[in-house]
Amino acid sequence: MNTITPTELFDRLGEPARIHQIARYDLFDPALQARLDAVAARTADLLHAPVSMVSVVLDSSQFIIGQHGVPGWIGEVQGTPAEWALCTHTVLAGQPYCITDGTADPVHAANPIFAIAPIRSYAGVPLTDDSGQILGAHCVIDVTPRTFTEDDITVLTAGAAETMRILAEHRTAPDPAGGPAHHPGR
Amino acid sequence: MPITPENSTASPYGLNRPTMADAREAMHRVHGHTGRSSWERLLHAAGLSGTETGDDALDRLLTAMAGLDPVSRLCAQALRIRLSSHLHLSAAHAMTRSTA
Repeated sequence: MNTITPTELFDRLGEPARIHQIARYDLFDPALQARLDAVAARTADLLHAPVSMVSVVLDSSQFIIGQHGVPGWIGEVQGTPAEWALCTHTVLAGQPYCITDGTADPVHAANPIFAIAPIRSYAGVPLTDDSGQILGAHCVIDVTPRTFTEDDITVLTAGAAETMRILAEHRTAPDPAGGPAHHPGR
Repeated sequence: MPITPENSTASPYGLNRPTMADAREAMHRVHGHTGRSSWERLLHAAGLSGTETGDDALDRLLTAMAGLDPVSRLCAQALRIRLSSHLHLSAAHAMTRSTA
């Protein structure tokens, strides 16, 4: 089984072109975060999951920009170290990523997040923008082991598409390739 | 792909508190070929030499980093999340040990 060190992980996630693309969005706008909280709440409701998140994965941390049901200090801090974030795996995979039972999964059992938070299962889909860069993930988390279905992934994919539509309205910097940028209110 | 934890027994769950060196590495990483000049610009903005080690200096650096440019702001946010995670877990860790 291949492993990766945190430093190698940060170098992969912190690739300048990807971080520069994420920096084109005004992720700190409370109005944006409120809209993404609503996306997370809807997905959680549709999938009967206690937790849902919209997050971007930065070089060394996951930054939660929309959330529903995120427990304790993780919700308050709006993130976790990237090496613990399950959404990191979705970003690296570049496709839907599911964990049926993290505590029994040899890839994930040593991840401290399963000891820190009441988490057992996860399903996430990538957030990919029009540049092709994977910015982060939209996910649900459950407190019991759970096998996610194709229908579950379809719901998450719809939530990710809605997220990208909302993010496009909060783009602040011009496209490095010369394309038009959307400016809110214009 | 499994991610190996940091090799530290003193820190909660192996999570180390971010340092000035971590901040420098992060700025070089996300800025690519302009990393060195971005770091110098940041030190100038923060009024630091980069050799400081205290909590106040790191806080000052992260504040300046958040105001430098959009890419540096993300870098600062990532480091703030790691710092806050460390603070929360250290407090919980200390409480567990004191009641054990």
